[in-house]
Amino acid sequence: MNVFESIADSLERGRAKEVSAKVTEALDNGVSPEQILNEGLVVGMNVIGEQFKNNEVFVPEVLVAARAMNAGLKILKPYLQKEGVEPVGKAVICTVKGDMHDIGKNLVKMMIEGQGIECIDLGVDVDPQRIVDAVKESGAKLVCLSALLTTTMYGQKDVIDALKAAGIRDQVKVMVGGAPVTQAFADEIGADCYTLDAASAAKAARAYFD
Amino acid sequence: MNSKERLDAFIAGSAVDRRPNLTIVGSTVCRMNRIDIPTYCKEWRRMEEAAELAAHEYRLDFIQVASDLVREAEGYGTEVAFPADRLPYAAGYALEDITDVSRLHPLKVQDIPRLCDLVLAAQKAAECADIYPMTLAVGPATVAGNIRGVEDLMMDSLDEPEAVEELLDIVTETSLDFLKCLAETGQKYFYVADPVASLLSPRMYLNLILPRQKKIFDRGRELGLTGRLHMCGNTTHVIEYTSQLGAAIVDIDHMVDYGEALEKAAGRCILNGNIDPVADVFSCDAAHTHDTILALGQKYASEKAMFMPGCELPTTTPTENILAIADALAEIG
Ligand code: B12
Repeated sequence: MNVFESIADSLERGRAKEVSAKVTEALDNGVSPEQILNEGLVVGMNVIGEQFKNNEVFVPEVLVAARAMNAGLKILKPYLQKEGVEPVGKAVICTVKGDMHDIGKNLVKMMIEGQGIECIDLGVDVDPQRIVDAVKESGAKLVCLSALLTTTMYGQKDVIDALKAAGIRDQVKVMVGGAPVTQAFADEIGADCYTLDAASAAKAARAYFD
Repeated sequence: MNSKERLDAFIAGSAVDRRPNLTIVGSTVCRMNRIDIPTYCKEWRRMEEAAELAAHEYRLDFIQVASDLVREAEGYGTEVAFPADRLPYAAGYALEDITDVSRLHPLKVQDIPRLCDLVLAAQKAAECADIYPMTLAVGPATVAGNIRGVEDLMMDSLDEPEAVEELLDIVTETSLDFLKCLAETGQKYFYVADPVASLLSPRMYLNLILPRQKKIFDRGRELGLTGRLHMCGNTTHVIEYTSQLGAAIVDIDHMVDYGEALEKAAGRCILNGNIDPVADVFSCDAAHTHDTILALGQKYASEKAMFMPGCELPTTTPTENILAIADALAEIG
C-alpha cells in the first residue's frame, strides 16, 4: 500500500488519529499537500460516499469517516494555503429555516469540499436573507439547500424567491436535497438540481465548476 | 363494524368491512379543537380531546395518543424547546460524553412528568366506546439519540459500543415501566416509534437495537398488549428482523418496495404503510391521494396488509386528503 492508499484506508475505517498521523508523516517526508488531499483523503471519502449510496455502509460509518477527513484537512489546510492551492469554486450551504436537521447537510458539505469546492456553511434554521447576504459577500456560484421536514421543504422555495427578489437568481445555481425532496418538487420550485445522496451531489457540484 | 371490532378482527385474520386505517396524523389533530402545537404537547387533556375528535373525523381505527418524540429524553435531562408553530425538539443534550452514562440510572414513568401525562391521556382515551387508543412509546435508539445527540450517538456506537449499550438498557427500562402503566389503565394496543434505528447498519441494528426493541414487545405480550412498530426511513435491510420482533403490525415507509417487504416479512406480521406522506398526501389533491392508496391496496388486496402514509403527516395536510385515505381503504375492503 502506498502512502495515499494508506491514508484513504484509515479514512474509510474512520480512524481519525491514524489519518492525522499519516498525513503529518507524509508532509514531513515532503509529499505534496495537494496530492495528499486528492489522492488520499478525497479518494477515501469517495469510496465511502459510493458505499453509502449502495447501502454497503450506513450513517455511523460515514460520520466517523467524515470526522477522519476533517482531522486530515485540519492539518493540511495551512500547507494548502501556503502553496497557493485555490479552491475550484465557492458554495453556500445550509439547512433551511425552521429545520434543525444537519447530518445529511454535513455529509453533502464534506463530499463537496472533497471536490475542492470551498463551502460556506451557514448551519441550520437559516433565514433566506442570510443566504442572499452570504452569496453577495462571498461571490459563491452555488447554493446548496437541505430540508428534512415536510413542513420546511417549501423553505427552499423561499430561498429561491429571495434570490430572485435580490436580483441574483441568475448568478447562482441552486441545488436542493433532503429526504422528503424529490426531482418533481425541485422542478416545481424552480431549483437547478436535485440529487438523492451526497456522493451524487458532489459530482453535480463539481460539474458546475468544470 | 366499529373500529374496535375492525382492528381486532383484521389482526386475528377474520373478515372486515374495510382495511383498518392507522394513519399517523400527527399534529394535524391540533385543528380539531384549535389548539397550538405547544398546547398539544404540554396539556394532555387537550391533546387527548383533539386526538379522539380526529379519530372520528378522519375515520381512523385508533386514537393516536402521542405528540412528540422527546418526552422520555426530557426526563433524562435533555433540554427541550417548544417552538410556537412546530414540534418540540432537543435543544441541549443530557449527555455531553457517552462515558458519562454511568451517571444515569433508569427512570420510572412517575419520574417523568410528560410521560405521566401520556398515561393519563391513554387512560382517558380508553373510555371511548368505539375506537381503541394506541399510545406511543419512543423506541430505544431514538430516546438515546435525543439524550446524547443523534450524530454523536451514531459515532459512539462504533467508538464506545459498551457505553451505548448501557444507555440503551437504561432507557429501555423506562419503556418497560411505561408499558406496565399502560396495561394498568386498561389499554389493549401500543406502538413503538424508533426513527433513529433505521440509520444503523443491519449488523449494528441486530446487535444494539433489536434486543432492546424485542424486550419491549415481549413485555407488551406478557402484559396482554398488542404492539406495532413504526420505524420510518428505508428499513428494507432489516424487515427480515423487525418482522420477528413480536409486533403484530410493522409500518413501512414509502422508500421500501412493498412486494419485497412482504416477501421478507413472510407473514410473520402485518405490514402497514408505504404511501409517500408528502408527494401523495400533503402536496397533491384529494383525488391523487385516493387513487394512490387504492392502486397500492388493489395490488396487494389478497395480502393481510394495510396501507397508509409511511410516516407522520405534516401539520397542514389538507383535511380532504386525509379523508381520501379512509375513502380509498373502504373501496379496497
Ligand atoms: C436524526 C433525526 C433528527 C435529529 C436531527 C439531528 C441532526 N443534528 O441533524 C433530531 C433528534 C434533532 C430531530 C429532530 C426532529 N425531527 Co427528526 N429525524 C431524524 C432522522 C432519524 C434521521 C435524519 C437523518 O439524519 N438522516 C440521515 C441523513 C444522512 O440523511 P438525509 O438527511 O436524508 O441526507 C441525505 C440525502 O437526503 C441527501 N441530502 C441531504 N441534504 C441535501 C442537500 C442537498 C443540496 C443535496 C443535493 C442532497 C442532500 O444527501 C444525504 C446523504 O446522502 C429522521 C428519520 C429517518 N430515519 O430518516 C427523522 C425525521 C426527519 N424527523 C422528523 C421530525 C418530525 C422531527 C421533529 C419535528 C420532532 C422529533 N423530535 O422527531 C424534530 C424537528 C426539529 C426541527 N425543527 O428540525 C420526521 C419528519 C417527518 C416529516 N414528515 O416531516 C422524521 C422523518 C422522523 C419521524 N418520522 O418522526 N430529528
